[in-house]
Amino acid sequence: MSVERAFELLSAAADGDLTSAERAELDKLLSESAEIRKLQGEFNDMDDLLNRLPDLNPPAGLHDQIMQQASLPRPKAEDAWSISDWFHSITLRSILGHAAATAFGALLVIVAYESRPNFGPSPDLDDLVGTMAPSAGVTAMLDRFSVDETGVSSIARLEQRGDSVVLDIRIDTKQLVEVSVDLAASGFEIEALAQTQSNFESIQLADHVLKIKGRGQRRFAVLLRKRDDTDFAGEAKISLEYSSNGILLQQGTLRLNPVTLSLLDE
Amino acid sequence: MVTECQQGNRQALGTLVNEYQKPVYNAVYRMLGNADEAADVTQTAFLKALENIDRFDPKFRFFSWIYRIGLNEAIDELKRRKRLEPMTETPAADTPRPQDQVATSQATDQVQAALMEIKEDLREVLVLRYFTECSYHQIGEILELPDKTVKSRLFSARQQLKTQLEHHGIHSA
Repeated sequence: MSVERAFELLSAAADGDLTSAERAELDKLLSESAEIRKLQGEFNDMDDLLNRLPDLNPPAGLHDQIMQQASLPRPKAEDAWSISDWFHSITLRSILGHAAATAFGALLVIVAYESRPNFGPSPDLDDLVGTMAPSAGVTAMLDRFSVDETGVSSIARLEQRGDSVVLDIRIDTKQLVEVSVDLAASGFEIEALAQTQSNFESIQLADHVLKIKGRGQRRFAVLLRKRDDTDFAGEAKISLEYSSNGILLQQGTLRLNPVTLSLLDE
Repeated sequence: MVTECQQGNRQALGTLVNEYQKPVYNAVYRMLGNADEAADVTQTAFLKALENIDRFDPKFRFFSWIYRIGLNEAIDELKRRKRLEPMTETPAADTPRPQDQVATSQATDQVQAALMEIKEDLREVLVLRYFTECSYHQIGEILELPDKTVKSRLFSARQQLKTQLEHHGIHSA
């Protein structure tokens, strides 16, 4: 009991929060018990360790990335862009547009990904993508979108890896969920696709829209390359949709700002 | 400065980000133990704060607000990490960046590992106490807790950390 009490008093003392009565109580415990004195030594060591942990510098580009993506309040303009636009709704017209494009486009079912031998047991993205792209680590996180709904948890990260752009999507769902990745307005096309789990029911690609359906935990990486007709003059975006049984669960947009695009274009 | 940001002054925004990015990044890093995730979460925290800056009440301290958002985002990230754990390779395998080299000594790694093993609500009071040097009252303001609760959580956090440090061979019991 006195050890517990002593620890409580030592904790308060470390924060400069001892009353004079508590100080006297702690002094008495220390004078009477070698065990408490040992405890004090250990406590001080721990306190010292925590105080000596170094301050870390954030990545050099973090400030610029925040500034590039930040939007401050301004008088509402028709075309004013705000952070909330990241999650803006896709209109019925655009959904119909996608449907039409899908219907008229040449449908490519990438059955190869289902029937080919597994990519191997390693779930490491660097190893996985390294077979198709520079295995450089992440140079910059360009944008990120996360879903944390009941039954669906997912993180989509758009990353620059050396000279390449990789879309890394991790997803965990209870039900059968289709992830749709629309690259039409991105200026990119798919160069390669890799998966670390083989529990996909289907993978389809049609007119810049990649659809991957499955259940449970999945992860896939999409290596992107610049389309020939892309001049990267304006903002580019990738639209994501998560749906189940035809019902839209969540949607979002990953954006690539013109500054980043111009660097990639060099 | 915050008021100027609320009026759309991007120069003030740059100053604000410059002033707070490092302490927020450090607090988030100590919650997550991973540099890449800490950078992502710090970025997200700032963007969320700036998205809602017109709702910020200047009578409160900006650092309380940005720390609160940063820690909440870090805890959300930990929840997502748990759900996606079997296919997440990041936390322990984090490749040290140049700026983190200083933190790669064995002792600091073990302290960080021990921190990662204590409960999240206890870890956040330790992070605020040691890595942002907040007072009980400031921690209480950030976490919306009474000062007495902050004090008792710090006590419990230190107890748990001491146990974990012993497991990691830092302390002799």
